[in-house]
Amino acid sequence: MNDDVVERAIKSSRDPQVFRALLASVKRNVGFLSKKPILMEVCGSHTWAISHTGIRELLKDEVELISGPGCPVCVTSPGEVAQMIELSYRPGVIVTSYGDMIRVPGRGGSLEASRAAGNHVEVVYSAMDAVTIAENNPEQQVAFLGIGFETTAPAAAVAVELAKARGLGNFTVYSAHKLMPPALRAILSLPDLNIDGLILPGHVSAVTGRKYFDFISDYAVPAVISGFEACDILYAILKLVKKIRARDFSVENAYPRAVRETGNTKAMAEISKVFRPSDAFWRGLGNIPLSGLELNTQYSSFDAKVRFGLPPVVEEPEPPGCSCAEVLSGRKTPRQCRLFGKACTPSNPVGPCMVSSEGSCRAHYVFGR
Amino acid sequence: MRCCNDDNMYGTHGYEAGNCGTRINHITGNNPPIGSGNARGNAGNPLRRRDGRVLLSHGDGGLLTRRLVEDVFLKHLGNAFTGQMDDSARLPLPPGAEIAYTTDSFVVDPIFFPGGDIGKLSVLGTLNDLWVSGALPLYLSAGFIIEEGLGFAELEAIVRSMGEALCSCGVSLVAADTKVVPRGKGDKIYINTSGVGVIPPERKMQRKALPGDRVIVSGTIGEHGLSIMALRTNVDPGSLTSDCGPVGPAVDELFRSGVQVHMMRDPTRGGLASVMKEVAELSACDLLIRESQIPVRPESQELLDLLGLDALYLPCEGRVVAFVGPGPIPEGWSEIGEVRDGSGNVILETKYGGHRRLGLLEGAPLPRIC
Ligand code: SF4
Repeated sequence: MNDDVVERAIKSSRDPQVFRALLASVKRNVGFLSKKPILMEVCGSHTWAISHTGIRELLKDEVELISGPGCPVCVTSPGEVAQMIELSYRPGVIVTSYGDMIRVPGRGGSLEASRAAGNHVEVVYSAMDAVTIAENNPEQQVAFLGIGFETTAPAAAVAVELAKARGLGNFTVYSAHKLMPPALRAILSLPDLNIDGLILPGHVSAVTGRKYFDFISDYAVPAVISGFEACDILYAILKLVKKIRARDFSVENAYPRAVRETGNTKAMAEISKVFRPSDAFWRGLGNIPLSGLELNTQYSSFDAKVRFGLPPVVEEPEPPGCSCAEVLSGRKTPRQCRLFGKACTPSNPVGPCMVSSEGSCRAHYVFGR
Repeated sequence: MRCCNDDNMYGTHGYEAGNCGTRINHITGNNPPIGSGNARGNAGNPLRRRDGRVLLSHGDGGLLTRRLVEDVFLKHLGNAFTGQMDDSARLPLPPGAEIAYTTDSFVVDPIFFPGGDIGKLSVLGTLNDLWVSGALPLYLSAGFIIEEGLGFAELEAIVRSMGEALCSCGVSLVAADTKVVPRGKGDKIYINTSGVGVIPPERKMQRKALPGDRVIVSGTIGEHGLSIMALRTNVDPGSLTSDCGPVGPAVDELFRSGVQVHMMRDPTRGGLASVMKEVAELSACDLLIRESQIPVRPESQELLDLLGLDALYLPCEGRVVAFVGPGPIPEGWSEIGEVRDGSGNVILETKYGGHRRLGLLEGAPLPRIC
């Protein structure tokens, strides 16, 4: 697609008139369904945008919009969080992390509390920044906390390769990266699953390509890849509503200006060069085989788990009273958690879903009425 | 020292605000205040020869402290009036005047950003607080906490832009202090400023928004926070610069327009949304804000989208939000909403017609990960 077309598409994806037309169309088409459809998105940016644009409120009578395991910070398991905190207490270690992660409560407090206790925790905005810190602090060990999905993993892979090329013996990645398909399979196999359609993540799909998600049709749940502008999301919802009615279970791309059939093959190659799939714990979904990424053997000297001799991650309990596990698997809405807005607020979060701007508890709290 | 040639902005009010330029009544080092400031004449500046960095001994109150004060601070912040170096400044004020007095500390990282630096920010941040309280700023004090190792070139650039900001606002620096802390005990430089102003009777406000008021802002929002965030995240800010600037001119225009001004705030930390929430609660009213009317530069919007940030929660450093009664508002101001009966809620009507509640900023604004 040439730039002009993309430009125009982006403009119209924010056009309030286009939005109103789409909204009316969604409402009309929902009228043909036998019940109010429940749609799940699995992307923190969608969680945020659906609340931020007011779509959740505008469609409250027609569509129930719930969040699945799409928030990188939230799906990081309590066992992983505990190891990250523990790592920050090791002498001579600088832990570098995306900002949201440092406020997540876990066994041993939080990275923020660890920093206040005098340990070295640095907020970075990209894996590259962590490499720079390693270069500037040759005496210290610098561990980067790699979280997120197919979207953030390529950057972490590039950082590892860069560190290798520069001969940085003090840089490691603590990989808590997750892969989307195994988690979706786990969600779709839940016996008490109650969703009518999936809004698929546009950013992940831009890396992986549309085909990557074809397996979803085996579960007879319609799925549509969506962008992030207000009209993109409504358009995806409209397509889903129509597919539900037509019982069309193909995986459709409603974000063609960014997502191709096969995605970004270079980024995917980066991932598989540095990482290999491994079993991983997800908050809310437990241990899912081959749903995470660990460093390949030839990069194992950059693996924080190897360098620091960390034991395998184990199941850890959720913070007492916190329903993040249920919220992340679509079995509870944030408001059904009894701590929501009472003991748990963004200033004093009990679970990660209230910490991250991509978390659904936070979105419901901040944008709720 | 160099100086601009503005007239005293507030001469018409009959308050002596000092001429353009800054007046220092006392400047102290880490411990003892230094005596007279007449030992300058330092052509081959010894400070800069010492590898060009601030050392711990620049703060010990001895000769090096005096050199630092004279070669950097007095050079840019002193003027012809400097000379009554004393332990405290004695300031003339009009009899019976209501005084506004405020203080703020500046710890911004990075210390230089497109459109300003920590020096300019520390002067204007405090002066802006005075202006939005209806005051005409007269005097400023400044305290510097400098981390050992800060380069003189950087320090001088910061102090120079303080001098320029003071100058352009016709305000005098009347007291200052410098401390140097060991490397690692601070982050380059922290500046605290306090400001004093006088509130003329015609600028007294009821400090409460009233149902029926309009909510107006003096310019586009979010640029300061966004340009800082772009630097921190290594994103090219393009043509975007901080809005760091004096709000005096916009406030003057507003008062001159004759519209009834009930309350003003400058949306710094926490952004426009947090300030509106505070005002709504304080006034026990609801605010209805229309997203489509909030002025945001197109180049800001691009960056906001890229970083996943909300302009409503990013600090501005040269904007005012005012709550005003009926009447035409001056050019440059935009109406963004209205005040209604209620109980302290701020409701945003999105540009798509949805509604969401705006609360106080909770946790620092961070770019999204995915
Ligand atoms: S409201 Fe708080 S405690 Fe409850 S599920 Fe959400 S994050 Fe966990």
